[in-house]
Parts: sequence; C-alpha cells; structure tokens
Amino acid sequence: MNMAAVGQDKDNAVSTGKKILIAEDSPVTQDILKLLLTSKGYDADIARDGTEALKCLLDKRYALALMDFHMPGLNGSEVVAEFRRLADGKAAPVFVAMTADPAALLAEKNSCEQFAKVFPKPFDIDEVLDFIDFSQGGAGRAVVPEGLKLPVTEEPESGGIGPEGSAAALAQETARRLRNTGGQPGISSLADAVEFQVSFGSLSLRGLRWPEDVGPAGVSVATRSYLASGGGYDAVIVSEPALCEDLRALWEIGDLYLLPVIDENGSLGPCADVSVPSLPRGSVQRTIEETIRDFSEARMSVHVHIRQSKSLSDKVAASTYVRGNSLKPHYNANKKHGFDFDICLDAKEGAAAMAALSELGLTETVFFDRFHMCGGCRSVRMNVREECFSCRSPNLKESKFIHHFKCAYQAAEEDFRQGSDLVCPKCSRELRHFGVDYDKPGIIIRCQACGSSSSDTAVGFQCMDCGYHTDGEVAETTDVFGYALSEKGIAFVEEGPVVIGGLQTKLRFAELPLELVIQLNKAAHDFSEKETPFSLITMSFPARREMVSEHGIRLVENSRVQMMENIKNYFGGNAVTYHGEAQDYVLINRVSPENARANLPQYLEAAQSGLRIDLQARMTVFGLEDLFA
Amino acid sequence: MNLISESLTYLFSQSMASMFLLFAIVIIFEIPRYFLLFLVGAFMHRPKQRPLEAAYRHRVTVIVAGHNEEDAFPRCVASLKEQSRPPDEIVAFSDGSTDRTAEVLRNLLAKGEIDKAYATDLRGGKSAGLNVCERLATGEIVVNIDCDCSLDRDAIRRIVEPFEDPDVGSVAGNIQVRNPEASLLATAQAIEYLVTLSLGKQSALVLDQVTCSSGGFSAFRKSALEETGGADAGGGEDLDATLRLRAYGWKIGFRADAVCYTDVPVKLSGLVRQRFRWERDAIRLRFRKYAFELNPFDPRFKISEVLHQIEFLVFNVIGAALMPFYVAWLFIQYGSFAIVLLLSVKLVLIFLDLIVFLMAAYTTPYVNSMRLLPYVVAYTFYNGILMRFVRLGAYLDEWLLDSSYRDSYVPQKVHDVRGK
Repeated sequence: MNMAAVGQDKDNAVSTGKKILIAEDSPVTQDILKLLLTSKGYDADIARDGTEALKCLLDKRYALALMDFHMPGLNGSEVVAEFRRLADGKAAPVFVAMTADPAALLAEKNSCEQFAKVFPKPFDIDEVLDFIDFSQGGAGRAVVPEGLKLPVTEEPESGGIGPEGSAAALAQETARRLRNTGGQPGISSLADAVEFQVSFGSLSLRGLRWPEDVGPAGVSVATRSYLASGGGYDAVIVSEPALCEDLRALWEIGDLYLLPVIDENGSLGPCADVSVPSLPRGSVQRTIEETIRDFSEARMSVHVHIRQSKSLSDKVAASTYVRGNSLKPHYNANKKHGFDFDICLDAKEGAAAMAALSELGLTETVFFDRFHMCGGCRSVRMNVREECFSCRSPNLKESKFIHHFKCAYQAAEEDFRQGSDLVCPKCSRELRHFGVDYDKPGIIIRCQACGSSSSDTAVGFQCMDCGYHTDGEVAETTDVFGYALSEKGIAFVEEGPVVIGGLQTKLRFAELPLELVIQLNKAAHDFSEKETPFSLITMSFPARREMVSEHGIRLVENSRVQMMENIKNYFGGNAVTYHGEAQDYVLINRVSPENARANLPQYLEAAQSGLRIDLQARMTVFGLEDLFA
Repeated sequence: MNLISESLTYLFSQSMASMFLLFAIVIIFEIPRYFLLFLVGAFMHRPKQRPLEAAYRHRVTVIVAGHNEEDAFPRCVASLKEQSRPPDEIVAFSDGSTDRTAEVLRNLLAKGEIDKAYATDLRGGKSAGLNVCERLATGEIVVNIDCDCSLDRDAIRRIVEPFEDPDVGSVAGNIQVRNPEASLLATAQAIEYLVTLSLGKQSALVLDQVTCSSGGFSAFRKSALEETGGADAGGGEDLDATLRLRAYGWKIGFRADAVCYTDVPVKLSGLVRQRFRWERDAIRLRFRKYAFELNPFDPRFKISEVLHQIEFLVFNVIGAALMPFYVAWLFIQYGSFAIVLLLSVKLVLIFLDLIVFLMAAYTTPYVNSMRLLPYVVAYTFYNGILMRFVRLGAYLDEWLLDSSYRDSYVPQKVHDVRGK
C-alpha cells in the first residue's frame, strides 16, 4: 500500500481503539513498553525516531501515541506539529509525551496544547498504564493475544527469558504483578530504582544486579518497570557466583548487553569485563570507573540501527566494538566444547554470530586452537593416548630391537636377555660387542593387552564425558577462532548497515532527511492525483573510508557537495537535492524511474564533471513502487 | 648365407667320431640337460588344482620387506588384496629406510591395509628383516614377496596348495618377467625365466631337485623355518634357507601356476651386476657353506643333495669354465673355420632351444609366452655364450676375490662378522 493510498483509505482503517504507537529511541524502553502494552491487550507499534514516528502516524491510525520528547531526527513536538500539518484532516491520536527534561518541553510554545499528558522520566509505569487505560475507556485486559510474537522470541537462538521459556507467560505475570502493586506507595518503580544504586568505595553507580534484578528467571519485574520508565544502568553487577550463560537475558532486552559486566566474586572468569578479585588492591574503584566510562563512550559511537537491531550478529558486533574490538576465546574445561568467548554468551551462539559477520567481511579471524571432538557426544574433553593398532589398548610397552649380525637373528631385547647377559636365541652365541656383534636398529612396541607388536603406535581419544572411543585418524576436528572487527566491521557498527550495502536496494524512511520525506509525500500525492512521475536517486559512497584516508575528510566532503551542485545544475529547476548522513538524495520531478535508470550513466558523468578526485559514487534509482511498496 | 650353407655342408660330411669331438661341449654340457627336459616334458604331470576351500586350510601370512620402497609398498599391498585367496595377515618391514617408507607403512597399518608393520632406523639386511617378520607372523604358512613384484590373481591360492603334504617345507613360486618388451636383453631373459625357472623347476620337481625357493615369491611352512633357524646372515639367503630345509629333510615344492612377475634388468651392466651377485652367492653357499654335501664321509651326506650339487658343478661351473678352452682349441685346430663350426653348433642349439621353448610355453599357464617365439634365436646366443662368460667371470671373482663378502646388498657390519 502506498502512502497516497493511505490517505484515501483512511476511513476504512481498522476501527480498533487499542492501537498504540511508541516512539522511543532507547531499545530497552521499547522492548519493555511493548511487552507491557501487548500484555494488556493493546496493539503496540514501535518507532525508533521522529521520522519513523511521523511515517507511522501518517500510515496507520492510532488511538494513542506515546512520544519520547528527545529523539534522533525530530523531537516529539516537531513530529506532532508535522503530523497535524500533513494529516489532511485525519483523526489524530491522543499524544502523550515522555521526557527526562519536562522544563525543555514546557518551554516549547505548542507543547502544552499538543500533548494530553507529559510524564517526566523516570516515570511510574503504573501511572502511564493507568492513564492509557483511562484514556482508552476502561481497564486494560490482561490478555495475551493468540500468536503474540515478541521481538525476543523471534530470535532462534533465544532460550526464552524465564524458566518457563515463554515470554508471553512472563508478560502476563509482569502485568498481573504490576496491577496488584499498582498505586501502593513504596513499591513503585521509582522506589525500586533507588535500590539499584551500588557502591564501590566512594563510587556509586546504577547497577543491574545478578541475581536480584537479572537472575536465572530472567529480568525481574521491578527492573522491567524501571527500564520501561526510561531508567538506565551503568553496569551489570554480578554479586553471586554465576556462569556466563546465566546472563543470557542481557542479550534479549534492548542493548543491555552493551553494559560492562562487573564480577564481584570472579566466577565468570574472562567472561566478565571487570573481575574484582583479580584487581590489585586499591585499584578497584578506578578500574570500574574507567570501564564504565569507556563503555559509555563506546556505546555512544554505536549506530542507532545496530543498537536497536534484534539480530544477534549485530549485537555481537556491537558488543565486540564496545569491548575493545576483539572477541577472544579462552579455554574452559567446564564446557563440553572446551572454550568460551570473553563475553557472557554461549560460545556456540557467539561463534555462529561471528561466522555470519565474517561472511560479510566484517570480521577478521585469528586462529585460536583446533579441538578434537568426540564422535558420540561432541565433547572435546578427551584423553589422548598412544594405543595398540589392533586392540586400541594404551597398555603398551616399548623395547629395542637387537640385530645379531652373525646369524641374522633380529628380535626384541627381552628375547636375548639372560640375566645381565645377551644371548642369541638362534645360535646361542653371547652378544658382547655392541656395534660389532650386534646393534639396536630400532624399537618395537608390544601391547600388553593383546600381545601384538609394532614399530609405531596409533593415536586414539577416549571421551571423558560419554566414554566413546575415537581413532585418531578419524576424529573430527573443529577450529576455534578469535575475532576482531575489520575496518568495514567497525564502519558497520559506527555507521550502520549502509556500510554493507543495506540501503542499496531498500530505502528506510527513518534514514531519509525530514524535508525529503515531506517532499516525497507531496510527489506521491501529485502522482496519484495528476500522474506526474518522479524518481528518487540515492548516491552512496561505498569507498568513502578509503577516500577519506587517502584524500582527507575535507576534500571528500567538498567533492560530495560539489557533486550535488553539479546535479542540481544539470536538472535545472526539476530536481531537489538533499544531503544525508551516509548518502545524498536527488528527487527529480517529471522523470519516470525507467527513464532515470536509462540515463543513470549520464547523470553520474554530469555529477563528476570537474572533480579532482573520483569518489566512486554509486547511484540507485527508486520509483514510487520501490518507496512505498 | 654362404657361411650357413658352408656350415651345413661341413656338418653332413663329418664322421661320427669327428662329430663327437667337434661338438664335445654341446654333447656333454647341453644335450643331457635338454634330454632331461624332454624326458620330464614327456612325463609331465600337471599339478592338481584344488578347490578354493583347500587354500584356506592353513592360515597364511605374507611378509613384505624392503629398503627405501615408499612407492612400491602400497602397490604391492593393493595387489595382495586382489588375490583370489587374500592373505590372512600382511606383515611389512622397513629395513632402515631413509625415505618415507616407515611413514607409508604406518599409514597402511592405520588404514587396516596391513596387519603388522615394523621399521628399524638402521639397515640390517634382508635376512634379519625376514627373521623378525617370520617370528612375529601368526600364519602357519609364511609367504615372502619382494615388494617390487606383482602377483597373478591365483598366486597365493596355488602356492599354498602343496602344503597339504606335511613333508613339504617350502614351495617356490613361478617367477616370470614383467618387462620382456623393454629391450632385447629383457626379452632374452623372459625366455630364460620361462625355460630355466618354469620348465626347469617343473622337471626338477619331478626329480625332487628344487633347490631354491626364490626370495621374490615363495612360501614356507613356519614350523620348518623355526626348525632350521630361518634366514642366515649374508646374501643368497633364499638359496641358503632352501638348501638348509633340504638338509633337514624337508621337501621343496614348486607351482608353475603360482605366477609372480618381476622387472628384469634392461641393460647389460645391470644384468651383469645381478648375475654376479647370484652366481657368487651360489658358489659360496654350495661349495663353501654346504660343501659337506659332497663329502661322502660327512654324517650329513645325502644322495639327493649330491645330485643337485653335481648338476650345478658340471653344467654351470665346468660348462662355463671349459668354454674358453674349447673355443680356443677350435681356433687353433681349424683356424678361421672355427667360426663356421661354432655357427653349426648354434644352428643345432637353436633348433633344440625352439623345442624347449615351445614346451616351456606349453607348460607355463597364464603367461603370454608365444609372443617371445621370434626371439629364441637371440636367446640361444644369450644363454649359450653371454651367460657362460658372465658366470665364469662371477665364479672367478668369487673364488679369487671372495667378492660376495663385500656385496652391498648386505650391510658391511654383517659382512665383518658372519662366518664363511
């Protein structure tokens, strides 16, 4: 359905009064709010920034829009204003603002009129839910719709976040408990938030604690409430012995996995980012402080799309980036597969995620070790031994061959030995003179179990987990690698999927400059009214990083600007150009996409005319169908 | 042509007495041998071929020993697996190889292609290697094969059949030439092997005179080897072991239908080296180590052993030794006419050789012999003249210089101490 059609079909829009839009940039808050609202029977959509929110509002019909005030792109207030301008008489939802800075919001002239209610962050989630219920005319139904699909359950690697393994059941439980405690002073999420304060010396930080807040059963209800209300954490504090897979829940909600893991008792070993017992006395506070600061800084550099991604590969890439750009394996004899990565994630999941990134050229591999695996249970915990070729017994005894020159008798030394003398069993002569009477040309190995002999031994593996025996020659091996993000991988984390060509064939409205979105809507409208064609050309720069390192950012950026100027001149008044973050855009009126595609080489030539350097720009044409399909 | 017609004219104009004188050497040293072969050919009994089950009465171990044979071992083992009666056990031995032989054997062992593998770091000679393997073998019948030999499909099956006779201690295989087309010399050797090894041993078998179970391919009863102490130090260990078995009273068998192929030297130099080694070892063993067999006062004296010793002495040694004197005498007596005489002799011999060849071809199964027929003429010269001189050279070398005690086939450390 295209955007123009939305306008026409607006009266036929699904007449649910329970559709809610959550415009929020924090992935954690997104996840929690969606979970809670869904459990109450609402149908919640997520918009990750202002532009996307605007598009959703124009596209669909919502009963209520929960808007974060500070968002990338345009802020909540701007979205509402823009919506009202473009809505064309479309019914507006109830707008509710959430903000950590109510003063700034109230300072805006129109805000008071635009928003039905403003919740200062961190807010009391119960109040928000109550307000929503109230505004939507009745108590929410604590019903989980059939076939409810939550983001966390979409990941095949996910083992669920609770012991029941069912996110839906957990959502129900969360909703029930929230209802029961709702309104009671002292148990509010704000009160809980105070408890999250953890102290190391004079350092006080907001800690997500194991096992209180995130435990074997997943993330606690209080923590969820705190997160939903926009609360944040500085670090994960592991205060009781835990295994790295116990912290799996961190990978399931938002970007909690980007928090440093501070292990107070050392049970996580290298999986933790800070292991307190291994730190020298007196340096604990400083180390934690520095780690939190480094992580926080690194997190800021992670592109919003990667932070919000639900793909485990993207998460592992971001985690690797934040954790000093390397994912190292270390031996772990407690694991069947013999190793763990230095993060709180199952090694197999981590390796699979890294393999996916590796295929895209985003990581570089460093060989770590080759493990032999049990043919029965895939364990690498195997005893390696020299064995008899015949019966596979390791009960071998080595002795030396003796060659008696005179009669050519050659046999193991025992056959010759009579007390301290060597006597030939064939000719009964005594062997006296080494090198003249006899020599020892080699060794012979006898199996004490079956009596067979050989000059060599076989190698075999005995599995210590299942007892299965594997011959050395046929034992399966598996190679373990460490990973580091390649230059492209770093760019991927910092600049988003554009680096791997994610935008070449698919445009994401969230990434388009706002003015362009507005213009596109206009163009689409014109097309449906008057059938005036238009084309959108994106100009991307896959070789940008190389260019910058070769020619410097200034020249590259200037050349980019010049290219846009050239294009503008080429089309005269017919084209409007927009400068985007990773790519530039040209909206050409009255040219069909087919024509534009045919003329693309000319456009490119025109754009590059008179430039000192070749930016190796790539142009892609999008038509109405490509944009709104 | 002129020379030949002259020879014929001369031949037919001779009296019986002068004929005998002229052809003394032929009459004494060639005819009896041919006559024996004819005789045996006439009464030849083909060995009775037994059903396949018979080949499984005894457990069979094949021993393959070699020095620096990394390429030959896998080929040889593969051909053993192709046998109609595959061996029950294969024991391989690398005798101080300096190439990858030991590693190759280890891999074969790991793959289960062979059952036992031994390797030494220092070379000890073939006897020592065979002795180890024979003792570690679990078969009642031990088959020795050179790893550069290849076998006919039924070779193992046939070579073990004669062991049904409990008196048989060893059975020689029928070794034939794999590369007769390599050179004229190789072709001549192919005919030689066919006549002397295949037909010759078949006749010897009839007379119980088989004296050598060749190292290339032959089978032994393990208990017999244990009784006689296996191989002794020094070269010609196959002849040595066989003679010893005979001395202990074991019967030696031969199977014409247990065929093994080997490559023979293509060039004269290689051939001469090989024959020098064989003949020297034969001389040393027969007339030094086993000289007692010719002494009627020795308690170990036996008629059956005197026969083959005298046969070898007369036909091989004296035949070769008289050759130069005979030729010299002919030239002194008849001047250049001697050439005509010698040619006349050769004509007769070619005719005899042709008949013998046909008989050998007829009695040797599986081998494609008839293609060698045109080369019988070459064989006559090869066997009658060339080989005589080679043998003579070898005998003189051994008698005068004891060369077999320095043979590089045996490590010097062994030569240094072994008895004569």
